Amino acid sequence: MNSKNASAAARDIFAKAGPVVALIIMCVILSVANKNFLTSANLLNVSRQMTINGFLSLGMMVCILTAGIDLSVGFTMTLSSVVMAICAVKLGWNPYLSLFIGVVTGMFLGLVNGLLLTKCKLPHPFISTMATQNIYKGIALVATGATPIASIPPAIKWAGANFVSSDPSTFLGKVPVCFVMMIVAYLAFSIFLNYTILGRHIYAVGGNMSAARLSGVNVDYVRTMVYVISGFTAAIGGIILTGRTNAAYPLSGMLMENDAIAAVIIGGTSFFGGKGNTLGTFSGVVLITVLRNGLNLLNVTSDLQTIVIGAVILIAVFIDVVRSGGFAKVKRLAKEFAKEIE
Amino acid sequence: MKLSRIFSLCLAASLLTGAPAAAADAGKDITVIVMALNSDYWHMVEAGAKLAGQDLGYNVNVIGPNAETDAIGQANMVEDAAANKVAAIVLAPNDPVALIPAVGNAKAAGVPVVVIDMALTTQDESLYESFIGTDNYEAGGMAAGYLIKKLPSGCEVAIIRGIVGSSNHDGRCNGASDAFKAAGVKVVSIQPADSERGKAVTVAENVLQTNPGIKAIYCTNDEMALGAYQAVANIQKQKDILVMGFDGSFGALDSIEAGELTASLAQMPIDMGYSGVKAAVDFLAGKKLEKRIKSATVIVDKANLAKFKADIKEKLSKAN
Repeated sequence: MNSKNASAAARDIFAKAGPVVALIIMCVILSVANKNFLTSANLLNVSRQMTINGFLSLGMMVCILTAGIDLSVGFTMTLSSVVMAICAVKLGWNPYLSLFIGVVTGMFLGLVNGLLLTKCKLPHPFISTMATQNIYKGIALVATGATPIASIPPAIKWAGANFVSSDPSTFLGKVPVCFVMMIVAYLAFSIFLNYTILGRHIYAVGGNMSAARLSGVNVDYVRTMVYVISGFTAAIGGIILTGRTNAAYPLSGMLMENDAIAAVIIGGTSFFGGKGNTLGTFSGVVLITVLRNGLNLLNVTSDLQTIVIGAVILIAVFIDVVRSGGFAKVKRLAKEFAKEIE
Repeated sequence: MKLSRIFSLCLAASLLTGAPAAAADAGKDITVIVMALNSDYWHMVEAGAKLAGQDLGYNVNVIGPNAETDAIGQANMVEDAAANKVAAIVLAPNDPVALIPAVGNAKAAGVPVVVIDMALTTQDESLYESFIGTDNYEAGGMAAGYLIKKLPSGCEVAIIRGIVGSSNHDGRCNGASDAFKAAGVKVVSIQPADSERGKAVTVAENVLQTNPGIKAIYCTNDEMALGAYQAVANIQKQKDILVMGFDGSFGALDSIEAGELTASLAQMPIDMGYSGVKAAVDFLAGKKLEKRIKSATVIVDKANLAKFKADIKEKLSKAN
């Protein structure tokens, strides 16, 4: 009994540390393979490159925790950045007001996703968010006339383009603002998911929806809110993207949901809901970014990069299956079945 | 624990397969970042760039994102190349605006950038050392001029164009439509098909449905021209409707040879890749570069196809 507990505990630690261990191993390999990997210039790049996917993945994780999914994150990001840029550049409104409008837009687009699911009773968020993904993309194309909106005011660019300190010789002068924002957001989400009622309810709904409903959780409210949260984080991602490219362009969200889902899954969040944590997702985000960055440094073509990332997702999910005992269960059932036939 | 070992081994294997491509000789590396490495056009740019690397004694790496829409992925590649301390970057930006900060970061890191193919929309010309590309407006006019000579006056034509907002396609489209209008040819439809063959089939079918009288379809790239030809052939009108593309890709050349496409306004991607790297090398040698270098174009039809193909073949064989 005792040893069983110990092995379960070990499995649990491995479950949480798995992606982190993989990440550390990868960093060691990359530092050996390329001398420019472990330089401050490159680490600065990595810390900046991870932030957009970092925010998208955070919202994606919350959706997947309820056994849902948000395929529209990419174009929610795009559309909120486009709306923000139109307010700030074309209409000449106050940049802070425009930032606020951008965030509200993201939350509204998320609310639409949530209501389609809970009020219109669309069968699965895969369908509703796939539909809204196209709609948001179309609106972004129409609203911009398919031309990027440039000359973004400094106040909006600050998050995506600036460093914590304006003096580049100091340490803080090398830390991108968006990276700090991402760390703060992950800490905040960790507290939110573990210590607030809504956070606990998200896990409850994902773990067993009927049980949650029976024990008095307002399931529809929770399932709507997760998409609003996803819209919120996507909008923050949009602010960073706008700063990073000094433009809001209508196709910026193309396929962004892929990396977000990948980061969440690599981070150990279960697709069936109820299981997963921010640390895992964080490692997933960093892992994908470091992987792409490292492969870029090694001049590996992006076609091959795609294969590697696909393989990493498969391995991560396979580990998840084995860890949760699903694999052993299937094997055992097969054996019993074979015996029965005999 | 065994599994974690498998996991890390797989990672290691996947990373190490890429390792031999890693740069060896610092200061002699030039990274060429194209819009996407998914078409003949960019593979020809790649061949030209590598040829220049061989001729000039530089180690040229050619990379690019999976899709021409992936501007942020390309921006990351520019920054990664700068962090990798390459001697110079040759960039074909896939967005005229979104790549500007990344180019600025490269410049701040002391890595010179030569822009090819698509211009950056910026007033600050100090960001890059030189821009080498086709004058798309002029080339669009040239293509229209070729068609006008073959068409009866006052007839109707359609234009199928690449994504709205791409300065390349804007130029190719506007140059042609202005030239058509000036010659009294009616442009009855201008539709985007996002540079894709499949989309162009649908778009052309719709255009032919609404405007059955058109005599020519001009497309702002070859993929779309091949798609448009498919739509024309489906209703057996290939004798009545001329289809012209833009780029001079292998697919289009084969199609012209088979008597399908009428012509293609060919850019010289091999030359562009070559001169991009050469400009970077010249800059590193301290030579002064012109800010705007026009790259050559030529109209390829059945008459000059053989010579054009032989020329490409010779250059490609040298690059490999």
